[in-house]
Amino acid sequence: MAMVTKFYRALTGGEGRTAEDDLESESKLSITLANGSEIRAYPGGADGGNKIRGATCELIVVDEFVRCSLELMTAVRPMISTKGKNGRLILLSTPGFATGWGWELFMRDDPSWQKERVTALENPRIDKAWLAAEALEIGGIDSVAYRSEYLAEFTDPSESLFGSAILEAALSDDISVIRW
Amino acid sequence: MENPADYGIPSQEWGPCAITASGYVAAVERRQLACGLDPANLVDFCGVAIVESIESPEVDAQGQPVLDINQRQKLLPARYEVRSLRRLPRGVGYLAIVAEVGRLIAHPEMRGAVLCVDAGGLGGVVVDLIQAAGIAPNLIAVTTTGSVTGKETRSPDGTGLCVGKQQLVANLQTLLQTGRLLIPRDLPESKTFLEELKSYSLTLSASGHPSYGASTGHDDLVSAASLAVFALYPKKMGAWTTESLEL
Repeated sequence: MAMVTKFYRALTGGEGRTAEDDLESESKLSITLANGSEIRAYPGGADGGNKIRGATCELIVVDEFVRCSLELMTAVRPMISTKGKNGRLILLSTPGFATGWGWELFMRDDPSWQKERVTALENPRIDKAWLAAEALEIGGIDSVAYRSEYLAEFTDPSESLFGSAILEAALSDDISVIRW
Repeated sequence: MENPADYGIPSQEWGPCAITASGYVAAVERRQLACGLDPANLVDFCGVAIVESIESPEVDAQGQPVLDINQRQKLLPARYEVRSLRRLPRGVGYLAIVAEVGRLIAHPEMRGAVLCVDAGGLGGVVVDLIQAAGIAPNLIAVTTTGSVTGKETRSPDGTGLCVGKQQLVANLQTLLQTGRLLIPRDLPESKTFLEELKSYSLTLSASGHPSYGASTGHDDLVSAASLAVFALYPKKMGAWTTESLEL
């Protein structure tokens, strides 16, 4: 919520008004604007969303949705149930493994969803040299970690159990092969 | 090893050692061969792997090891060599598999070798045929399970062992990661074996259940090699023998 508030304060209001002028009230987990709009932050938690039921809104933004449980999402969705076409749900996340409800939703061919994929390479705030060094640090540009964290790819949950370097080292020219 | 004393082994328990440029080594090598067989019929290949363990125990004047197996493993862990790899073609019948196994076991170099067969699924038929033919006196029938305890149990019918797939894979991993499993470079099937190993993976289901196997292609040679290694790998309770298994 602190990030949201900071971002809001950085906005410039129209007609000479500052964003600050439109800020009616502010707390740790919400801000209320002069026009009656509210932005609230709800913790996901591990209780399946039991503590956040009951709210109503027109826009839900779920951060890191891939890591949210299906139970939590089941509790969140009804918040826009009465808003008809004005009710919107925005899901943001670093991809994880190609499994679970989040991956299935992203892969589903459903025109009611608009899907966007933005990689670290497209982010002007990330230095390319830093990204190249980071790739080396976490196993190369083909590694599961790099593809997930920076290339926005859902990755196969399976990992080879036998590394190439170890296998290469196992080759020997001194073994007497049994021919049969 | 530079000096047994560095490992906390009392000098009176060293047994006779030969001193070489690399330090103390045991006087006698102990070798044991095992053949792993992963039977298949129509869809997969039938994998065959021959692995040899080469153990260099400290020995007394009678050639008997003077250290218990745990100490010996710490002192001079055995190395393992893949002596042969082979895929029998798809569609080969049970009798043809048994005939090939019989030919292999009769090979002069295979005297005293253990035959470890995957008895799961159609493998049970192959085990029955091998037993009926009486071609493999040292036969271990292994049914792989999802167990993660690392303990083998006797199969319900008492004729073989139930072993977690994880245990079979962990043995291979341990040997490869410690540089103790060697693979012949010039064997054509070694390339296939390496490809199988590279694509061999662990997959967790949504409920967290682990399953092992090739993410792409086949894993018959990996299965066969893991069975051979299992037959040779030291067990906490001592090495498997046909007597201890009562087979």
